[in-house]
Amino acid sequence: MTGQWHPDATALAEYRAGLTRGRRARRLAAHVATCESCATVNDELAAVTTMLASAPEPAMPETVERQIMAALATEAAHRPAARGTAPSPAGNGSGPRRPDRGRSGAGSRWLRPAVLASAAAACLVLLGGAYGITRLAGGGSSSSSAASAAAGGAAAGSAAAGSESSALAGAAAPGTHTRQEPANADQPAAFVVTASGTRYEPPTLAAQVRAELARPAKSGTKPSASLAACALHLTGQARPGLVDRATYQGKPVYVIAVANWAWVVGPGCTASNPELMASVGL
Amino acid sequence: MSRAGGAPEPSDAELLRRHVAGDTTAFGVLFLRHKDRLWAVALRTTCDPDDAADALQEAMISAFRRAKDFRGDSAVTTWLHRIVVNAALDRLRRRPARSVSWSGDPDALESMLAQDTRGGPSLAVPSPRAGAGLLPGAPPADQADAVETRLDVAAALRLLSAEQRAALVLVDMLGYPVAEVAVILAVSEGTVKSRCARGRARLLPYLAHLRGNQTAAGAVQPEEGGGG
Repeated sequence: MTGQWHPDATALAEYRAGLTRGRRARRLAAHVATCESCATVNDELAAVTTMLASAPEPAMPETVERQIMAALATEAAHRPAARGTAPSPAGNGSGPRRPDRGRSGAGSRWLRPAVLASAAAACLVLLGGAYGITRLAGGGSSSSSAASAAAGGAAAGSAAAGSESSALAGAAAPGTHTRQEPANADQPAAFVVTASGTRYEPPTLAAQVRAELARPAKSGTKPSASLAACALHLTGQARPGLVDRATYQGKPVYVIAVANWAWVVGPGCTASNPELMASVGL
Repeated sequence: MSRAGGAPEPSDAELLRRHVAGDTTAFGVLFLRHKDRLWAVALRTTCDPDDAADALQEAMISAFRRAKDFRGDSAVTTWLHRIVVNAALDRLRRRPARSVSWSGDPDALESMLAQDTRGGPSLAVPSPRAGAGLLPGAPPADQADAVETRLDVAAALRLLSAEQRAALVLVDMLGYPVAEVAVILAVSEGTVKSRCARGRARLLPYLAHLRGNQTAAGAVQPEEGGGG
């Protein structure tokens, strides 16, 4: 009897998966116990699982990781301020900054950085100690001592001690940020590449970038088309306040920053592959 | 678990909560923590590194934005896997012709694959970047074996429908419990089992062939089997 009938592989696989019940299940069990070829198929089905389980798991290629981290950094930089769910002490701190920006740059195009700045300020206070970046939130006196401690640590590198106070002054008085305002409204993308020689390091990155952002405008070179495209891609087409050729952990990089965010990218940075090495809220 | 500098590593749920509260680095930490698993899911489901990269990026941006909707009724990883699998399946639906040059007839593909394992892994390699995830520490011979197994499995997975493949990748390859995979795929546990069972049955002829192939290779290179 059983010699004439053989279940197909799907029926056996379903039986093995526990999908077959009752009389049919008993019949299959009895058949597999006596039919050599079906017992073999049964074993091979188990081998399929073994084969799949033993296939090496691919690690994410570095290029993919960098690409996604860059996309997430861009997303974070353009994120609206957290609302509702977040306790938002930052809402107050960011208040004074908005009218200041509004007064100096009226066009809607320039509203965007202002919105970003307040959004970032909302994030900053919550981020708190991690990067010591509470200061930009309006330059409030309550946070400036913590900030200068952080900046003081940062200044241990190549940044002169004097730049710390100018960083503080720059953040507190938006007037010193005039170099970020549109010199020529037709060319919002125009910016220069400076070479500050700063040796940026991970723990002090935010403070070092703030110091560079606060320096008075200085001369630089014109960015290559690919670097310009890369920078604008990262900033969401906002004009970067800083594009600095420098080193990060000893490696040659460009440090690109807007008022509230900085990116560290490799020297071959392009819009499609920014070679993002680090990014930080300011 | 591990305590570095006295601070316990934040849980996935904690990182997500911090992200929703405005922490700009928390989501990146979460992504880096699970990147290889998520990559494996995306790559195995799409069978194409470019599609996998695009799907994963799309999924991570989506998760980044939708984090506040996460209700905590599943693990964060389950939620992330679900978004990645959906993005991968979505991409396959949008680009059905891209993953393999094949008429759609399963038998035709099977014979193509069978010929291919004799002639070399060309069909199985979707792009040069497929080699990017090799085992860097393995000695050359082992590495070659590992690559061959991987490519054959990758080729075999293409025999399956996208739904079967997603289920089998999660259950058999990555070892997730059926109950969790049911949540990831938003289907019943019975459906997961059924898709896996049909997928295994579908792969059976191909893996049997592969096993025969390995025996043949052993005969050509006796040192591989120990030589006596």
